[in-house]
Amino acid sequence: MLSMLKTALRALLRRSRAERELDDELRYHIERQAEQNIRLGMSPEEARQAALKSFGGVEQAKERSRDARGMRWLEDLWQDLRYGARTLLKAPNITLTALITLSLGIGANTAIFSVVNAALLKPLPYAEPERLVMVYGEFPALKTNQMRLSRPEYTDFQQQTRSFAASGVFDGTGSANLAPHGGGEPERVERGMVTPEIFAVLQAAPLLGRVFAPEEAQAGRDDVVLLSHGFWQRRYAGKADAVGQKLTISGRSHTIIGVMPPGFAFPPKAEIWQPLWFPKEHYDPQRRGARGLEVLARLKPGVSSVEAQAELDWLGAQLTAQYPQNYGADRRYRMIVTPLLEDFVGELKPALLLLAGAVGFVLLIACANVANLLLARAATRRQEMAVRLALGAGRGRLMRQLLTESVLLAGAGGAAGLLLATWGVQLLLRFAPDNLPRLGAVDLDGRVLAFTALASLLTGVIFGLAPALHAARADVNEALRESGRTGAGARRQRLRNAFVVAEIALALVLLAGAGLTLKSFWRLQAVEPGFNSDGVLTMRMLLPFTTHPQTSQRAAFFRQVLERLRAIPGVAAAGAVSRIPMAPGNNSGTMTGENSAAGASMNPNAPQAETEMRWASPEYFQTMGIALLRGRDFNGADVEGTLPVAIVDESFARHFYPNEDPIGKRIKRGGPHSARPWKTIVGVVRSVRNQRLDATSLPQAYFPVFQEADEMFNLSFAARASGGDPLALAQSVRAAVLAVDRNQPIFDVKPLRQIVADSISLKRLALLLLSVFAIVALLLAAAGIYGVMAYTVTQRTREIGIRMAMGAQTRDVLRLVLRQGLTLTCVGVALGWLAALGLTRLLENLLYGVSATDPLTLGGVGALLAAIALLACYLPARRAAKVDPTAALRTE
Amino acid sequence: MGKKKKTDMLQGMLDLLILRVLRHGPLNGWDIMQRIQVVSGEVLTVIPGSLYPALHRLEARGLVAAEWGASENNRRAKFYKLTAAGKKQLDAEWKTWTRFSGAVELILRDA
Repeated sequence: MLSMLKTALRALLRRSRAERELDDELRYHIERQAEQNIRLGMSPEEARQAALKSFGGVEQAKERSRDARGMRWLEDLWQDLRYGARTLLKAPNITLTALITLSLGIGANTAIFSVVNAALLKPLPYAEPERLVMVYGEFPALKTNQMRLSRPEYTDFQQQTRSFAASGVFDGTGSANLAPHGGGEPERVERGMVTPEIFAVLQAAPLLGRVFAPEEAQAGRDDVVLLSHGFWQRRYAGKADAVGQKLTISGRSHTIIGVMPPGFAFPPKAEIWQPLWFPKEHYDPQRRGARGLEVLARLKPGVSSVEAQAELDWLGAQLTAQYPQNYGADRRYRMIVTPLLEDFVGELKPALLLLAGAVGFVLLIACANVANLLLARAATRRQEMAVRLALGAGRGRLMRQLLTESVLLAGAGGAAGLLLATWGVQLLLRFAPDNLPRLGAVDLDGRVLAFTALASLLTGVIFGLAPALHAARADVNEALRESGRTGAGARRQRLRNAFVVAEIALALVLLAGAGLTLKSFWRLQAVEPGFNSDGVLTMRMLLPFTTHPQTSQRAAFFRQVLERLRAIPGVAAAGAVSRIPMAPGNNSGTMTGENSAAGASMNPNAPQAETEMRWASPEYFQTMGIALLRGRDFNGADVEGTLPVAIVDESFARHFYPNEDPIGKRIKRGGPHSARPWKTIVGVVRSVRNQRLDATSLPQAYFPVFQEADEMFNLSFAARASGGDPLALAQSVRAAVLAVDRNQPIFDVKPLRQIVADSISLKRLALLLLSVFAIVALLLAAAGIYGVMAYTVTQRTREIGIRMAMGAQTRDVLRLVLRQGLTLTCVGVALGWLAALGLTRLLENLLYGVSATDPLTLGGVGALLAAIALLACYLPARRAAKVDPTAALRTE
Repeated sequence: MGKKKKTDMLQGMLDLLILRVLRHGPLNGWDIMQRIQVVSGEVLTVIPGSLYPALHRLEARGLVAAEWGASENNRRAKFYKLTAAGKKQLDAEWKTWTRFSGAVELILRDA
């Protein structure tokens, strides 16, 4: 083996020398033979000729000797590459067209793949990231989305499961005010609140200093803070003495105890971390409905997520039995684990895969176009191929050479495409909403480059195969004849027609997908969310109970804020609520209605239901534009100590009191036997889409925020601008809050309209991209059919000339050409419809209000495609009609 | 399929003959051809067009080594020499051939 390599390498490196040696060796032999022949009596010329003849084919011998050197294929490849490059340069138009087409196709695929790579393929930057899971709760029977855990539920999880090595709670949605560096406004930073165990779960070590100790997660000891690497560089210039210094956060002094390494970003975007802990009341085992905990856990080594899930199923059943007033027989409780990566990007996955498929189609269409181009050129290379075959080149060798040429072309297209992809990705990221996870990591790393190389290789083989097979099958005699209308020509025509039909079919599928997505998005946008998002500005505030321990303090603070907000000239109304619609988190629990006897809960209309609960201030509904259907809003009289009241939504009223007036009826939290106080219904409002635009919500109930001390910590505020532009209020709103308390940070200042738009931002981006691909596919298909028809017209010039000489009119010729184009188009569209009926099924999960086989859309895109295709045929048809019969008959 | 096998067999025989001829010292292609023809009493004639590919194959397999040198009349020629691996291969193939031809002879004589 080694010797074979040595000879091969030597042969490769000193090819010309090896050739000369081979020549010398054989020449020596022939000379000796000639001398022998002379000795036997022949004349010198006879002797030499006889010597050559007796050799048995010098060239073949040389060839076979060369073959014997092994590694022949490497030399062949080099030769093919050079020959291929020369051939491509000899036909610059075709090569350029092909290059542009290929670079668009491969570039688009590379761009999408780099996003797929960053979002789905790159592992998370933690130790053994596949063991990290998120823990959620759900009521399978109610089809709720995953819910966060409540504090008691988390305690049960910690104490009664054995599958997890560690777990922790985090809350990353918030920012904090830092004391200014010297005058001016406080600096706002993104803050992550984490329990100390989180660092054990992530197995993350700090760069400097230490992480939180368990005893720091309690009142009085939590004045410590961790910095992110970026923040430390920015504010402390990366100096090690930052550890130990003091930092004032929200008016309170904290000690910096450490710095996290670069790349540590949990929760995402956090710049500082503070210890998370909960007041004693949250641990009350009955208080199971306040679900705000995000739980991260690490599976024990050797435990699979299937096993962990089984244990959680058991726990869920235990809890359901143990707490019947919180979880009923029809509301079985269940905890679920989701791998962390999937949790981050799970929403993206179907959309990304869809886009990857779509862009793959675009590449296939591009391949078909280039294959057609090559087939067209094959006609001009007939003689070249025939000569080579006659000289003894094997058909396999010929095919190899043509394929090498194709791959070379594809490789060049791929390199150009890579360049296009870098720009394309930057463009894409600019349009992408920034609530999409992991997109910061998009770059052209090794995997992406490998993908591009592989895609180029495959592309070259795909579009090169048909022309190569066709050329290799050429009949030598046929090809060397001068006439153009040969069997091979007809075969080529059929191939080209087949490619065009395939292109049209693929383009139709893409157009159908884009059309359906467009219609679905349109429907989604038109959904009535139940509130009026125009002109409303929202913001959030978090009152730490360390600074405001008394209920009266908190109530006073919030009242003052509301007063000041309402006093701003541009504000028409202002209100507060525990959670804005479409914000994360969820607070739901059982509610019982006082009507019929409690009794048999076999009755599906039993007087209790899982209800979403919110706490609202007076004027909240007015601010949000939520219509009050009956009764009254909360007012200043609904405070602590007065009659407990509630406002419910239509869905709640329909469930409990379908045929009566709910005003005056009483409801309470918990099951029929709970000891909670009864609340009187004083108003009914319109139902609101609380989670997402495309999902209906549970029944909703609202309670006055000033009546319940527990809820006045984390409030969202909304202000309706009388002028209609919410952002104009931003400054004055901030000033109003700071005027009440200098150190109080407000964050997430956003127009409500943006919150709603963000909830469908992903769908919008997917639609945009899909539409771009569909349009590109349409243009490519149109170019494809134009090319085929133009070529056909050129080939049939003589025939057209004859027809015109025999009396055919312009419109007859037009009809002749158009009919051919129409046939191809119709077959393509029909095939496309068939394929679309099968494939759009994959879209079903992403569509809203539109069936995957919506006939109007499918028919519409079919008509559009046919129209464009016919238009593309029209130009060659016109050229055909202008043919001068005498000139046509004279050519050839 | 049958044709291919026959060529393989002949090729194998040619390799064996070359190796054997080279046992006593290096020779160039012409000499090898002459030696085979002469020693076999003109029964076996080697076609040069097959000989040289066979030599190059043997060289690629490391069974012979090549060197340029001067022939008689001081002309440049390529000489082939048996390597250690080549000698081992020669012994093995010789043994195989003896067994094979012995068996054939037995059948032809007594079957």
